[in-house]
Amino acid sequence: MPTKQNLLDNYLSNIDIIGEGLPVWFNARRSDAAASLNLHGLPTAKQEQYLHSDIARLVEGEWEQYFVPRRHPAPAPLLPDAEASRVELMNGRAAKEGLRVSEEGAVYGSLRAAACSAEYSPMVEKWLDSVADMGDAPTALTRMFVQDGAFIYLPAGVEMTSPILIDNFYHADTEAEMCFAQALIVADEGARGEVIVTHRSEGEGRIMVGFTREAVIGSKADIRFTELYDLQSNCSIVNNNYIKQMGESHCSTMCCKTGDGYVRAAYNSALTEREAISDVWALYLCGGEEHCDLNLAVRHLAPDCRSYSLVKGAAADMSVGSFAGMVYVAQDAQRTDAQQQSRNLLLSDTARIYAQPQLEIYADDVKCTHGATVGQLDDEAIYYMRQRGLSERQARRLQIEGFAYDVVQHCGCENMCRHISELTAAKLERM
Amino acid sequence: MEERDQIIADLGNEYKYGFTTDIETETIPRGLNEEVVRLISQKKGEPEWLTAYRLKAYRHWLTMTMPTWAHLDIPEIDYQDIIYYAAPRTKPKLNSMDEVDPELRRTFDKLGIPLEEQMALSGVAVDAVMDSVSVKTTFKEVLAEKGIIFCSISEAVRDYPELVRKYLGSVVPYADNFFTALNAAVFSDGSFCYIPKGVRCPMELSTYFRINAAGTGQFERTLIVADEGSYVSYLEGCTAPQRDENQLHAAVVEIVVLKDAEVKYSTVQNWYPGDKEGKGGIYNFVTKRGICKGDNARLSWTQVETGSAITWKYPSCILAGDNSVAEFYSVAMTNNFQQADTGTKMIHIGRNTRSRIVSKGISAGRSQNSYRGLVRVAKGAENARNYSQCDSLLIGDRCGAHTFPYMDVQNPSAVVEHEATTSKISEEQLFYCNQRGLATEDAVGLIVNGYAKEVLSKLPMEFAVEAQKLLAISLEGSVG
Repeated sequence: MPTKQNLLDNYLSNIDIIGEGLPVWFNARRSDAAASLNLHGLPTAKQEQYLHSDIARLVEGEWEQYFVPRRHPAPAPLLPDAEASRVELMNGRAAKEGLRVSEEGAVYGSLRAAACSAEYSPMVEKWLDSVADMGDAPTALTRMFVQDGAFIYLPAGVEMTSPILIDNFYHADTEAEMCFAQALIVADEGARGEVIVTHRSEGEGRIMVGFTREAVIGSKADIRFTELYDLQSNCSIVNNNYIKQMGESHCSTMCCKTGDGYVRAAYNSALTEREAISDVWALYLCGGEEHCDLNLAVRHLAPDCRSYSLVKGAAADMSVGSFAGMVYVAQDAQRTDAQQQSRNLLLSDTARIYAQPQLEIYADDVKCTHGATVGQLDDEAIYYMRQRGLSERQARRLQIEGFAYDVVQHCGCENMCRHISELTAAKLERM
Repeated sequence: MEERDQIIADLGNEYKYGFTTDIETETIPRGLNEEVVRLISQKKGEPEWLTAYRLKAYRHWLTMTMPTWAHLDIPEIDYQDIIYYAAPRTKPKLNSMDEVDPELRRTFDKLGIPLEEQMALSGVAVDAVMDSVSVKTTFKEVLAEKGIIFCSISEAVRDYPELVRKYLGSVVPYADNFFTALNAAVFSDGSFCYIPKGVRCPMELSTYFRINAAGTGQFERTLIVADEGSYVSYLEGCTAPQRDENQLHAAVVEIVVLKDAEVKYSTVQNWYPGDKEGKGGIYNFVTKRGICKGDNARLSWTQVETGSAITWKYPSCILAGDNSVAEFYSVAMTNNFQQADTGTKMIHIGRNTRSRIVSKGISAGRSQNSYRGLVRVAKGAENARNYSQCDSLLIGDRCGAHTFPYMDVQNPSAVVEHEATTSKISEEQLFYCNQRGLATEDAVGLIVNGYAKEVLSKLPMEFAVEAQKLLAISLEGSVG
């Protein structure tokens, strides 16, 4: 039986359990998503957007899905020393129920709780699924099965002094498990804050994660995202991020793939009003037979917006690194300033790198540049370091670390920055 | 601003070469089936293997669908409503210019093609294709002395069957895509060129294609083979008369470059782009590909694309030989409702191969102009080097400029770079030119020519002049 049908059948036969305890509107949208998935089907490598990630093959086979919360051994907390407001998710379900309010006034907690609460339900109903593209099959798939996730609300003018951490932990003992989660971040006018999203995994079983994150950034708000993929090799993630930015808002995203798991991540930003600014820094490090596919799309829909993106990646052994970027400039988006850079290192004969920096421009008064390079380490620099007593291996590592630093330095939280640096070093050791 | 509006209003940029010549043409019924394929083959007196090849291609074509991935909005094409073959009825067996139909000669004169003495003076041998059958080939004798074969493909099939059979479809197999299959099934004419070992072609070879009879698509097939150590520069230029009906053009060009040989292929394409409302115009769906088969082979594509309503064209290079070098220089200019999706493919297979891509897109009016290119470095392509640069220039706020580069690198010693910028003509530049007494229109022409200079300078002299004029003409009516 085709995978798509399997999933739809599973959805239909469990429809009551999946939606239990959630508002009617929340569940009504599932069936829309199911219809969309049915219509579009799971993407194969034949689809332009999924050229290098065969999602249909990824979700093929027998998977377990649990629609009731289960007990798992609690993971060691991430960044125990860091002062942070935490939302912990275990296989897509919030570990703690309910919503909390930080000192500064930010609301955070389980998406389920927010959707059910009298106070925040209207907000969730308004914004959830408003930014995401249900025409994208993995997004629709996630929406179909999602039962929980994270919710963050920064009311107008709130300025966070410490980050909010969405800590996703995935665990499967022996069987293959599929799990889904969604996150909604709403920042009202002038709010400032940092959101860290991490993905970690553990256990012997295979895991496939569908994750969708939506963010609505109000005018003059300034939000910083840091996302870390630190997954084991038996864990795959398909992560779709959608960001909608209002006038004069600023949103920066830094993401890092240091784990060994399969990552397909898409970052879509829509600059819908004047003078919005979007920055994206991304880093992927691939060794072994890993696969990392990063998709970046910035849509300039209003005049005077600015976007910058830098994607750096290194592929060693038999890994595949892929980057596709798209800058779209609508007809009215005059005086757009967009920059897109992709720098890739190909470190072995059997690794493969794809790069696709694309521009689609319908306005004439714009400054758009993009560049992509694929190359290797600088022999001269290595020679220089070796002359100064470093081993070949050390010299190579040092150079890759320097290469990665351009991205890693953009992490706002000091503790997180250190953590990522450590993971990067450990990853390079394995590569 | 007022002045600009005035300029827009004033410019009735009608297609300069929009006239048709009344020559009786022999056509076959509309539509395509096995009978038509056989008929074309029979009319051309082709050997059995070629008929079989055409039929195989036709059968394969039936299983294919038109590609839709390009950033183009192509109206549905009724392939059964096209006449697949048209030949001037007077049998073109001519030895001198005097025997050429006066009507036909007048057409060439109107186009400003000096087919007679001027031709000799400019040192260009022309194989003029007038609706599918070669009418006149000049300088054949001069070329024959050097052993160079330059003739229509039908003559080549007759006179040099073993050469044609060896190379036809070797670079662009019929199953490559929808249009190559169609072309392989119904190609009516085109040029064949063979440069023997160690020969430097003493003159630039040139073919003027001209679509004439209404409702007939032209399906040329060009095959160029440069044997070891040889050199040739090949020019192709096009103009077409004004037609309301869309005309389909699906050509295939194949180039084989053997060891130490070099081929320069230059095109100026100026087919009827449709009127200002986007009505009519040629559909140009061309597959061009060359292979650097031997070591140290060099292949260079230079194209200036200003015409056609829709262009779908990706001149490509396969760098199979070690140390081979490929270049692609392109200026693609779209105005009014024109659409272009063009670029190149560089496939690095051999060791120490180098490729360079310079693409300049100019879009004006309501046109859409896309660059689409692929650079692939295969596993064994040690020390491959690629540099791509694609710039876009936007004139007006209703047009689009898009860039879709693809990189696929499998060898760690490869260095692949891609750079792209998008910009518009700055007010300052225009102001500067205006101050010095240039009309805005002329100023734009000047700036655009400067912008495209890097590519134009790669064209042979006489072509470069024509191309510069073309750019300025195509730009008319776009300022504002």
